[in-house]
Amino acid sequence: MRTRKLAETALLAATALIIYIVEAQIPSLTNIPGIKLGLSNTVTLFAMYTVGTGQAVCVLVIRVLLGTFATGQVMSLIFSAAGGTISFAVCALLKRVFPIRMIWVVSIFGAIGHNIGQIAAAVLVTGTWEIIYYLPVLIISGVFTGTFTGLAAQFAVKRMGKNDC
Amino acid sequence: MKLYLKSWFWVIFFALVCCCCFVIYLLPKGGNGYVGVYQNGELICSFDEEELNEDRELVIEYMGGTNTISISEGSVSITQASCPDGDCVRHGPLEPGGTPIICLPNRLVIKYIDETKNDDVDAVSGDVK
Repeated sequence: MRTRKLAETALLAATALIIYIVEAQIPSLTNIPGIKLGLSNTVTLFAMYTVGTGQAVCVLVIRVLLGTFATGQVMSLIFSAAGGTISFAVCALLKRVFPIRMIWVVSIFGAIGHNIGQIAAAVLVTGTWEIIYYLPVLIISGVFTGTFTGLAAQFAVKRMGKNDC
Repeated sequence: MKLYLKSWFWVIFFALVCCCCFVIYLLPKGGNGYVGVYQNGELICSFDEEELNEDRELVIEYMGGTNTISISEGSVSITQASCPDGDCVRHGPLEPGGTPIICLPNRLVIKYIDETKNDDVDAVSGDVK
C-alpha cells in the first residue's frame, strides 16, 4: 500500500508540475498582477477527492517548490505558498460538505482564498496596503478561473473514479 | 431541502459576489492632484500638478533592481523595469481614481495622494531629485 501511495503521489505531482510549467509559459492576458488560470489546481482538487487530503498536501507542496525552481521566480514562492496554503485549507474544509458534483463550488472558494492569500502576502511583504485595491478584481477573476478549473477537476474525478487512479 | 447543495443557489451567489466586487472596483480610490512614489511603504518623492507638467524621467533603485518612472503630458507611468514580469510597465499611465501602479519585486507603489497630507512631503521630494 505504501508503494501504491508513493506512486500515486508522484504521478499526480508530476502531472501538476507539467501543467504548472506549461501554464507559466502563457503570457498574462491582463495587466493586473496575480491573475492566472491556476490550472494546476485541477490536480490538487482531483487528488483531494480521489486519493485523499493527506496525499493532496504532498502533491501541492511538491508542485509549489519544484514549480518555483523550474520557472525561476523565487519571489513568487512567497505568494504561491501563501495563496496555496489558504486555498488548500478552504478546499479541505469544504470538501467535507460538498459532493463530487459540486467540486466547482469548492474550487471557486479555493481560488478566491488563493487570491486573498496572495494579496495578504503582498501587503505584508511590501508594507503597502494599497494593493488591496486589486482585491475586487482578483475575486471576480477567482470566480471565473475557479469555475473553469473546478469543472475540469469535476469531470476528471467523474470519469476516473477512485479505483482507476 | 439543503440549499447549499443546489447549483442554482451558488450560481446566483457568485453572480452577486461579482457584481459587488465590480461596484467596489469602480468606486473612486481617493487622493487628488498629488502623485506619491512609495518604496517599501515609505514615501520617497511626490509631484504636485505643476511638477507633473514638466516632462522627465526618474530612475529609482532598489537592491540592484531599477524602475524608470516617466512623466509626460501630466501623467505618470513606469516605462522600464528590471524584473522579468514587468506588470508595472503594462499597467500603463496612472489615472485619477484608478488602481495604483505597483512593482512588487522592487517594492514600488505610485498612487494619487491627498493634498492635505502633503505638507511635509515637498521637503522629501526635494532630496530625491
